Amino acid sequence: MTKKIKLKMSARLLKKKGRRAGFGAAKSCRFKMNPELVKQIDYKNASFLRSFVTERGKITPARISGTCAKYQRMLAKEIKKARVMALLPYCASSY
Amino acid sequence: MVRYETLILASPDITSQEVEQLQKSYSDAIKEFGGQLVSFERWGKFRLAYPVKRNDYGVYFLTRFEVESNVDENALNKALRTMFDVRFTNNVLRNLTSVLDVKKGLSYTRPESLEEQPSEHSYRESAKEAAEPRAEKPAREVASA
Repeated sequence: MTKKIKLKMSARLLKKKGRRAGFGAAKSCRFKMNPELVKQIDYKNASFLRSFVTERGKITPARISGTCAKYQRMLAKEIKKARVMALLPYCASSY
Repeated sequence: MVRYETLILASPDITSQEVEQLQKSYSDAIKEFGGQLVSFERWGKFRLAYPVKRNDYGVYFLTRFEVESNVDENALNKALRTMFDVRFTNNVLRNLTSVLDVKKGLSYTRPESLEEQPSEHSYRESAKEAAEPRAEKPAREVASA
């Protein structure tokens, strides 16, 4: 019987690695490239936050927007605040 | 010193008298805790992202205030909440109080209200006004000639 080889890398990471190889260079974080933009992350600035939300009102995953974890956390917090105040939709049925 | 801000979402048919009452009782509540009101701004009328208490439109007010850092936060929050929820149940739809960074300053960007945008009605009117003088001008020239 062949011995089962245990993978040292998690399945998720492996998948990610495969994706990278397939789709070229890694995405860069918008806020790291331009630190001035960080000031704009605010729940009152709904028009700016709209660029990090899909048409349906969902928060765009960092995997797609390329935002790094630190700023993705800040964005998510502010988007949720804006939703409470009805500046952004929880779910948009028609846009 | 700690700086806070409250964003108030009021119902669209709030009268100016009620706004004055709201501002007064708000600043009174803060004064009780030894703080002072920094600003009370009216953003204007907005179309809401979803209906709140069966209102499609709402009026936003942004208020800022400062208190000493040794103030009882829980009591202050409770006082403000009860004021909005009990005294202004019909007028205030939502309110959100958050801490402001004192170092960052008071500048901010806010969304554009419906009053600032040229509405369809006023656009049509201005288009009519623009069209009318053009129609009149040639007629006058013909008459003078």
